[in-house]
Amino acid sequence: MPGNGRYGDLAAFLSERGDALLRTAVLLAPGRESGEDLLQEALERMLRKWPRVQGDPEGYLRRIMYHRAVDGWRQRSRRPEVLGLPQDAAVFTAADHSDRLDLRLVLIEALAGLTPRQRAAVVARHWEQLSEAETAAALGCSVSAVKAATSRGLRTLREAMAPEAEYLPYLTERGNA
Amino acid sequence: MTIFSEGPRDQEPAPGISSIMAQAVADVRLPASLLDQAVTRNRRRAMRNRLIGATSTAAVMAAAAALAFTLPGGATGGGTGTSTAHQGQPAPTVQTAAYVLAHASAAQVNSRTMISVTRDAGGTLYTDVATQQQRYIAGIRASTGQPYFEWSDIIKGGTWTETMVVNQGRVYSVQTARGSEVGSISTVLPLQAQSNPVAAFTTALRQGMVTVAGHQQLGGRDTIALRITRQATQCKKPGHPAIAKANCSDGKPASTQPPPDDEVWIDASTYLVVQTRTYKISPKAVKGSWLSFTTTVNWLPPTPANLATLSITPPSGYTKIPPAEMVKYLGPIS
Repeated sequence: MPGNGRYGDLAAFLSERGDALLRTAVLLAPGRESGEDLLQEALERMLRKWPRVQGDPEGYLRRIMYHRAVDGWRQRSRRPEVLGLPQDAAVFTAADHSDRLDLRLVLIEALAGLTPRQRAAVVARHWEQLSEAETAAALGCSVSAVKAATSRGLRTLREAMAPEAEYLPYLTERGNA
Repeated sequence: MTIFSEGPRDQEPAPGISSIMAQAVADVRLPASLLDQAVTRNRRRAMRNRLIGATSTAAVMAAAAALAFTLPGGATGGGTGTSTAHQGQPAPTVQTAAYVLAHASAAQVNSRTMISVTRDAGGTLYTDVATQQQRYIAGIRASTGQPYFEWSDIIKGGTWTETMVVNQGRVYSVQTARGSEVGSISTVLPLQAQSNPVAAFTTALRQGMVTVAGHQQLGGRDTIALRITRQATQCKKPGHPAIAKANCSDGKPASTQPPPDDEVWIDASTYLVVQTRTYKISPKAVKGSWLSFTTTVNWLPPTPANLATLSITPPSGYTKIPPAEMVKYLGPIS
């Protein structure tokens, strides 16, 4: 549908940058399906203004995702969540990918233990590699708030993931080397 | 062993977490249908808005219903895909498979604050994870009509204490342990006997190991049947503790055939487990055959009276013997 029509430019853009956007959404949401929901909602919001969107659609999408992740998107958790995971199930059957899936599950669970703002700050700083000032602009808060949220978020992540370290080689020093 | 470094002054990027994030999402790919879905939803929203301007409220509701997304799967199907709850509409009340699984997951996690009572052909097991107490009462009877034997375990103050009473022989023993031998008391319910049952259930859900089979009447009770799929390859690479390692021998599956799905029935109202059926390889029967074990489950609130039943006081007149000698009194059932 979008390939050649009104949204052809957007389809082309997503074919190039969609994976990266979804990875950010998966970390922000957090979760694979939640991430798809978040990105889909951001896309839907952008489509409303698509004819007027000028410049960088990626920046526009990312701003929506961060704002929704911090402010309003969590309200959706009151609705029935669909948890079917065909992609994860497929990965699970491939033995050489199971560690990565385990790692993702542990990371997602640990990220879920953060406040939305802490999660967004950690993702912006350590996944997107944004500066503190850029993160503050993306989240609509002060630099000091970003510092505090990042510090607390990292501490919580570290504590949450420690018990899983023995099962996940990626979490050890050796695995990170 | 460190999880990830904090970075100088706590504000510099921590290289460890960046690497973990990169590894964790490396295989995430954008589904080709995501933009299509967003476009469709946007069109429906626009159409809904036009309807609101042109018709009465009643007409809008009817049109919205006609335009509503179809929830993937019913309670009898496997919900897949992304959330389809759409803007401006109340939350659907239809029980999707995912809705059931999410509530079942929450119920099982919450159930750890209650006393589980599991009954199978062998006897009855009372377990309270919160206070680390467990009591087993054998189903087989002594000549006096009492249970042939019973035991209780309790872990308190870092000490594990097991009291075992054999009514048939009028003897009892008390065994204690401290330190690394203590371990912990967990339930025997599916996916709960893990160091982290929350992660175990979440993992099973996300790996598609748990599916909803549908509603079933069980003893006049409305229940929802779940199936938990085990896979024969788990022995070679157990990975996360959520992945079961049953029916393995020397790190290899004991059977070339995958085991039948474990079955779990949950109450349709409370989502608590009411019955399970698991399968284990039959060591004596035809090669590759599986034995089924059915367990019924009840739940008790942790009242002082109920918790008191978890401990055993050896009756007066019974002889205390060393634990090692207990096997003589268990005789044919040891």
